[in-house]
Amino acid sequence: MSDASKIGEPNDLHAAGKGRPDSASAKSEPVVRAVWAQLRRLHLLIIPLVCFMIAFSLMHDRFLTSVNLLNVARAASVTTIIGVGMTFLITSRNLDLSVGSMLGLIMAVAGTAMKWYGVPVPIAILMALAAGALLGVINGFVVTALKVPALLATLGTLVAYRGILNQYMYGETASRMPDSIVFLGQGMVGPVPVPVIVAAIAVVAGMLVYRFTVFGRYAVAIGGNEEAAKRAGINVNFWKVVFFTVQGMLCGVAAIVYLGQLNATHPSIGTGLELHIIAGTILGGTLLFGGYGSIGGMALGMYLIDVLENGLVLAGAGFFVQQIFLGILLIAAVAAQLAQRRRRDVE
Amino acid sequence: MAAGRLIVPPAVEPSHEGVDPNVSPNSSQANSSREGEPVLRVRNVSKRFGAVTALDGVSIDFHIGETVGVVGDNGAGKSTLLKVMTGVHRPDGGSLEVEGKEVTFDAPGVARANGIEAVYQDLALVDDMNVAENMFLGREIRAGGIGRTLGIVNRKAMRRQAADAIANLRVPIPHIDETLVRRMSGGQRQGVAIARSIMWGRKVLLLDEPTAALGVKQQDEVERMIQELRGKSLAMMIIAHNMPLVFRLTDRIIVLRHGRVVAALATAETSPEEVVTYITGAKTPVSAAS
Repeated sequence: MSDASKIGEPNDLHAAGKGRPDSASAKSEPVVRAVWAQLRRLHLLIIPLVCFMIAFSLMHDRFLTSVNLLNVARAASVTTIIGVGMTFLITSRNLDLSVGSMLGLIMAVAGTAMKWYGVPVPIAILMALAAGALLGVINGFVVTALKVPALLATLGTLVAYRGILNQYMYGETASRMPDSIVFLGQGMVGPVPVPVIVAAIAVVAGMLVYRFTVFGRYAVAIGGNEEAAKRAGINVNFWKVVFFTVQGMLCGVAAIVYLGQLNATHPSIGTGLELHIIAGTILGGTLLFGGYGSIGGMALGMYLIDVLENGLVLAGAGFFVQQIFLGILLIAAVAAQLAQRRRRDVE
Repeated sequence: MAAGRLIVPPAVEPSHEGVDPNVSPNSSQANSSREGEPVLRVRNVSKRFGAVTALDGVSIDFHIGETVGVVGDNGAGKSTLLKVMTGVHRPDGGSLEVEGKEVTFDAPGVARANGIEAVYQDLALVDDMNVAENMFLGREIRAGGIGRTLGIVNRKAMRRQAADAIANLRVPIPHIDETLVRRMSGGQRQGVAIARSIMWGRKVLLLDEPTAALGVKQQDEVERMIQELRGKSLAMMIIAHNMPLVFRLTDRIIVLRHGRVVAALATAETSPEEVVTYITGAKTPVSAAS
């Protein structure tokens, strides 16, 4: 029991090393079950993903090529980066509808800083992160201090941030970004596009943070049982602000990547993107009611959506058909979650 | 009917006798420690919500090694008392003393820092987390070095200590590693909540309806856990409706009615019938005295 006394805080009133469960034999089983639980949550997604891919590859022989699949990943990188933050927010039973507006606004700030005012690239990147943090703090403040539900709070800032963007840009655009920014959006490292690498780093970091840090654990606790989290002494409002702030900063990262991808910025960028990101996150298995999130599932979800878009484009369908599919996907994901939850409650 | 010995509060006189959990305490022979000083003293506490007086001059002493049952009808003030004792509510009047020192519980953290832990009726567990995460919720063991700053938790250490605590309480949970609390039975969940409180509650453990909403077998299981804790070096308070349970588990019974302590009885010297007469108001301190 040296561990307990070393830590000092937990009461070792009854501490005696007796009765420690035989962890050696019990270890493998929970791991298998944990993996199986993950798969069971993801099957919702893997099946349609595989189905769509088979269907598209039959329809179009150019679909199932590594170049095309990497193109899809490139297209999905911006939404995946933002989805990391969204996964934590939804896990904590929050939501951010303003991500599309934040993306557009931050791109305008960083893009015009570089093109109109000659700000050096590193400073512009820092500005993007700072702007994202500020916008996120505002969201968090509205939710915690003004006690506006996240859905409505960020619906308000969705409109307000877009308004600021339009007021600032006044319909103008900034284009032809510095080479280093273009590299972040369009460059390649070997066969892999740079934005895919950025997104992969965000995803892996997000998975580690979710599992191994108080940031991730408190998102689960607050989303799972906010009252219990409060009673456990967790400063729930502080952490909510942190989650919104991180979401804003990830929008800043995504803004830089997207600025490079488009090599331009325009006030309408990011309009309607929130639905795309929420759909991908929910498809990935993150519970809309909080308490569980899956960063890996979210990445798959974002990929699925872009597979769908790409396949539909190759099949000759237009943007409006994609919208129809996206809407149906979102509804199907939420309905599936609700059904799963009812089953669980019956259990 | 055995006539219980009525103690009109706050007449529980601390004695100078050593701890002996096997002796039923009464007014002249209160179970005590540290030269008879109560570990926790609720003194003349009042709490009002608007026009409603939830607590009206309540005084109770808690001694190490002693289990106090608090009974009363719905709305008698039991939950309010619990919330005052854990710092959820601040009392409008009166005071709380921990080991003779007056303390102000203005946040849940303060009561806990003073070694007072509560197991709420709803258990306050996060269903989506495993046992170790629940037991260390808000008090995670951090990794060393730079990991501490990054907020990295030491899952291994938490799991090991949680497993020890669960094993010591003999909570029947086969393997606690990754299983979510959601998947556990009511008795197991109660066991986790109690084990958590014992792990952190060095002095006082407050249990709110510990066996309500449990099946018969699980009730027995939880009762066994509480029974094992009796006489250990901590004070317990049990809020319960189930009269046989209260009589099996407590040394003293406090009856609350309309926010006042109407009776403080030694469990060994009273009967369920008598306690019920106090709860319903059929018998009052005045009528008993006359």
